[in-house]
Amino acid sequence: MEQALGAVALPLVAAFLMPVLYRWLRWRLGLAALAVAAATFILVILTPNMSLVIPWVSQLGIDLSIHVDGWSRLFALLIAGIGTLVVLYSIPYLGSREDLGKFYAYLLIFMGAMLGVVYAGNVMLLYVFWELTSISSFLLIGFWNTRDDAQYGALKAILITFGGGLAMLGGLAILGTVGGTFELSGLLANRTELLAQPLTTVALVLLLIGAFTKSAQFPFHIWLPDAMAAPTPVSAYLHSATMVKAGLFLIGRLWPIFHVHPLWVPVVATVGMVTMVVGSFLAIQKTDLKAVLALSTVSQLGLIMWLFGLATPEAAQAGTFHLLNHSTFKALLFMVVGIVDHQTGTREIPLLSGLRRAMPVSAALAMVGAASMAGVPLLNGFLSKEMFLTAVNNSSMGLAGAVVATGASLFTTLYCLMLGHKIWFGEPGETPDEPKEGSRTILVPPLILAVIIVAVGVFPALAESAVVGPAVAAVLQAPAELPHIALWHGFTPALLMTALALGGGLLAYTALPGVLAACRRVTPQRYHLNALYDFLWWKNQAVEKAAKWITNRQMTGYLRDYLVYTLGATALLFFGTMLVKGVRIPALNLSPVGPWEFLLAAIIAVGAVFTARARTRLAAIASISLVGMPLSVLFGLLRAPDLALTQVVVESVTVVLFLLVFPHLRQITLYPRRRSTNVNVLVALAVGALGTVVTLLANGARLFPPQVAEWFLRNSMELGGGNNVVNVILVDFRGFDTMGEITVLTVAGLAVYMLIRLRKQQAGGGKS
Amino acid sequence: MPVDLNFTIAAPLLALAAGALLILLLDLLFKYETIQGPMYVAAIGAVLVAGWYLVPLWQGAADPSGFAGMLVMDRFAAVYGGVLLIAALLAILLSIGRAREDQSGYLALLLWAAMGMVLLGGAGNLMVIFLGIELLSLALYVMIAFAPRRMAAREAAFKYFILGSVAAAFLIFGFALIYGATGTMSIAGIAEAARSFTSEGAWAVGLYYKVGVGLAIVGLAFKMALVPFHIWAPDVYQGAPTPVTAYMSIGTKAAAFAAMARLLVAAVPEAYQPSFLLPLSILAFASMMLGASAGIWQSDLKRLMAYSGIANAGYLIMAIPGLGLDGLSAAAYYLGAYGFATMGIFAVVRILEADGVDGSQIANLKGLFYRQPWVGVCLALLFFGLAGIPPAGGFVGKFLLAIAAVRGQAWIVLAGLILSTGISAYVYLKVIGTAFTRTKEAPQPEEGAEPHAPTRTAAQVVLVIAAVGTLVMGVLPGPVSELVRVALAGM
Repeated sequence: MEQALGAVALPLVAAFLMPVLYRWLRWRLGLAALAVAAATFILVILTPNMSLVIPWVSQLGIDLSIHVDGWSRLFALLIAGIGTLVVLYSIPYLGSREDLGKFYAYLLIFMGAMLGVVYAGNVMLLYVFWELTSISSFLLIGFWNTRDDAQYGALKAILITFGGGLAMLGGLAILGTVGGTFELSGLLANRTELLAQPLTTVALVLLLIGAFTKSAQFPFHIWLPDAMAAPTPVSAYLHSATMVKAGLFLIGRLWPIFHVHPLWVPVVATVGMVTMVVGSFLAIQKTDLKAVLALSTVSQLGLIMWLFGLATPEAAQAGTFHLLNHSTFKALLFMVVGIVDHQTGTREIPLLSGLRRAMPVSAALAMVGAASMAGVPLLNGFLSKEMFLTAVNNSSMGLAGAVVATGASLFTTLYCLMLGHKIWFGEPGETPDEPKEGSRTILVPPLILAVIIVAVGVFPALAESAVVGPAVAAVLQAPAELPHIALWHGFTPALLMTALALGGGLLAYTALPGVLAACRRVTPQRYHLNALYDFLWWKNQAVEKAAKWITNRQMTGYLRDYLVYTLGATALLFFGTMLVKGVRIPALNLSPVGPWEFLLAAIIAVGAVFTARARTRLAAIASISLVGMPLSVLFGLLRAPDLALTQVVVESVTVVLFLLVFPHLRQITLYPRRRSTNVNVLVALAVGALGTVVTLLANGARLFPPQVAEWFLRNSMELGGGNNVVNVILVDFRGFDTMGEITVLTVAGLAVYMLIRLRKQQAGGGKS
Repeated sequence: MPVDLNFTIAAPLLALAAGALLILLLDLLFKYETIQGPMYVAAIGAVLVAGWYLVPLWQGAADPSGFAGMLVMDRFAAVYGGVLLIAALLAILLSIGRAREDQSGYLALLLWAAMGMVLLGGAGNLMVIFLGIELLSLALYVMIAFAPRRMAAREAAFKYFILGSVAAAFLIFGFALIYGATGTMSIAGIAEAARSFTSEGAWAVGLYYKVGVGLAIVGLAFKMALVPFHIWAPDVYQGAPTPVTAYMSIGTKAAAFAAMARLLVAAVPEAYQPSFLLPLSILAFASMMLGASAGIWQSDLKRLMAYSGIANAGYLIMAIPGLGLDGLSAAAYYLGAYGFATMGIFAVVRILEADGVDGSQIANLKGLFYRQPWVGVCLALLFFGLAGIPPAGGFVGKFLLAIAAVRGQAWIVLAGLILSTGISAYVYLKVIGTAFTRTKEAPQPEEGAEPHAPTRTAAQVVLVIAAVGTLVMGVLPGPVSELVRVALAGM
């Protein structure tokens, strides 16, 4: 258990030391990073299968739980092994000019985070590390952050993977709540109950979105080609061998729970298939070597996704084996392309040819990698491709699947020939730098990978028993009769398909310009996913513009608009709810309305309109009295003389106050009539209607007995010694309140007096 | 009528009020130059003493109810009171180094606002809710305008005052209707009455009772800045002095949410829940989406934080659908995490202001990481907290809210959480990107502005506290969430 914890912790801790160590070690920092990576690799090898739970947030069911099985071991070996090779490769590749402290810090953070993903036994822990890999990928893509393409690629990658990660978080939250635990083992144990819940389908879809974005599946694949702005070691490591496989890792973890789900085969297999076809079809059209490799990665990831989507044990076996092989040959190809780029100064295929004379070792290595990817016998790619074709052929997709698979493999052969033949043979072309073979140190890592490719290709049983077998067992979680991986399966349909793909690819290669022209003609040039992305976020910034539009519509800065907005929203909510719920005003129990009431109401309405439209201050004051005075008459009509009297007093005081204050204010300014004035009228009417409707709703409903009033009526004489209940309440029962009110009024009056005096003093002092 | 005085539970409030009076007295008795420091000490002391008195309430030692049920300082109130007092403490620290003006009035108002906020958490009666709202609002109206020579501050204060009055009118109208329907102002009484409507089928009463609760929600939603009652937030956040913005962004939201939670738990019986909570969920969804997407196009950090606050008001509403322990403890946790992140970001603004730079311009953050590496790193961590990216506390908070929403079957708000978090992550990453972009030109101080060392030191202290708080809540969520949960379980 120490090994597993150490393998995750060592790179993470070492990462924080890198910027510090850089001050002393300078270019030798790479060696320190290499030591860390190698030590991690040893720890990974020493890690046995195990489960361990360290309590963390137990009440939420989130623990630091580690679960190592064959599936995680396969990934851990790739992460630490290829990681070590990539660090070794990066030492001569980057040289000493770059900010190495930053580079190795990010790279080691990634290594630790990725090991965390594959060792996590708790899905929330997995998520935390998952996001950490996205962030470190973002930082590494943007490593050359002064370059536009690096910024573009980094932003695109983080937007898509982080968005997918959020979907996944939603899925995990649902899964954990439905399944009652966030532990992988617990979810696995509850799988039958889980599948019976309708919510599980939602969770599955969200989780798949997470996996598809991370593994660059169609239609989320568009971020991977732009991630190639990262330094080549990063591309080799994150964007082909490990990080993009995190989605597949998750798929493998979900497989035992969900592969019987009715959505699994249609969604996962179809997405994988489409991705494989789209990726390989686009790959052949690219002229940048790294772009070809990126799209070929998309295509190969689609292939593996397709295999896991088929939901049969033999397909899972094929997928697992191909996953391992793809990491080896694709990392090798990236490294060689990096060397070519490094030594010739370009990655453009049309500029490169005949390099084998100047770079014989690189040429040989590239040929091994490309041949393995194409599926040439005696190399590991041949074996897993064969298994892939067999699995597709035997699956429910049958002949149609087999035809699509062969077709996509044909394209694969075509771009493998470009990578393994076109740039190396023919007449040497003009390149920015004079081509020469890379240094010995830079050739060592790809050489090791080439040896692995051949070794696995010739002795597949070794890889099967050591890595692939346990991994497949962990995915299946059930015993299954699986065929052994062997060099020769006899004359099977798969062999025929391989031969067709290789032969067809060769044939197409001889007529390459024509084929490419034909392909380009059918590829949409204007309406594709990248254009949509650029429209939204980059070139047209449609999202930014939409945000600006939304903001400016409401944020006018005018208080009157804000009031309209707030009041209008309230009225809208109120009447909207009434309409939706079908609420009606209950039968009313009102006294009849006489002509006097109508007359008074009409005067009040006219007064209100005049106040709003008054052009002088005096007119405004006069017309507001037209609202208040009839109101007091109304109170009187309704037999509430005390209320009427109060209203008259308040009204008079208000008018006096207005008269006192208005001379100090500005004249009423008349603004040109705006279109929004009509809206204002509407909102004003709506608010009035709201008040009326609420009053009508409340009409006549008084269910509780008026206890307070009764109590005062009964006790007024006995306790307060007076028959005028209101007076008794004011001076006796609530005497303290009255005193408090008087105090408050006094303090307020004092404050107003002070303000007036201050103002006078300031005016006297010449200030305004 | 018997007098029911319970000073044990009123002690935190009284401590704050006494601190405010002490500060005013100090200002009267001593000279400005000598007394400035002690006034801050008194303010901090008042908050600490109030916190000290909260501890027994947190432990549930005393009888939480007093003043004839008007004040219910139970564990719920203690949890929210704790969050509010931390916010007040950090706001006082951020205020150090304000230009020479009415310091005593400012600090007293800040303490009174804190008193109003804590009171809201412990309100046992509709009138007390109104009292708390008015106490904190009136104090804030004045505090927002507390910036000499800045018209924007006065404009902000005036806008907030007018719109706030409208909201208060809705609130009191709603209360009146609730009273009319139930015949009581006490929240416990309302809870009892509300549960009797369903059984009797008193349709007419139930109807205008619902309208009353709806209008009361409008009033509180305004204080929380929930769409469509958010309209004041950007202008006010931008216009107010930075410490005030920081304070109100957390304090008002937390206090109004506490009151809303208390009111809804009591006023909405299970049978009514769908009809009430659907509109609220829609408002929450709209808040999240608008808050996140309007932030995309902001060049002003304070306005950006206003939109972030709008989105976060929506997240808090996620706690409502279940109206259970999960949701309320998740909301308390989230408020803590959000509070630390927000306070820290405003502390960064304040650090820039200490050098005379307009810290609210995002453009002025450019290259911050290379000039002040630790400030840059903290800023990134705090924005991670807002975006909900591990290892910051916001991640755990959002996760807890998501769980509560799943349990409450609130799919609208869950979808809103996922979508808006994605959008706002883009917004925050852009700001972080600005801080980490290398530039040769340092931002120019504004004319007439002098660097001020004490301001910087105080702001740095706040930044460190906020960053540590964010990190602890993200990495060791266990102890904190356990505390909150245990505390609320006794509710």
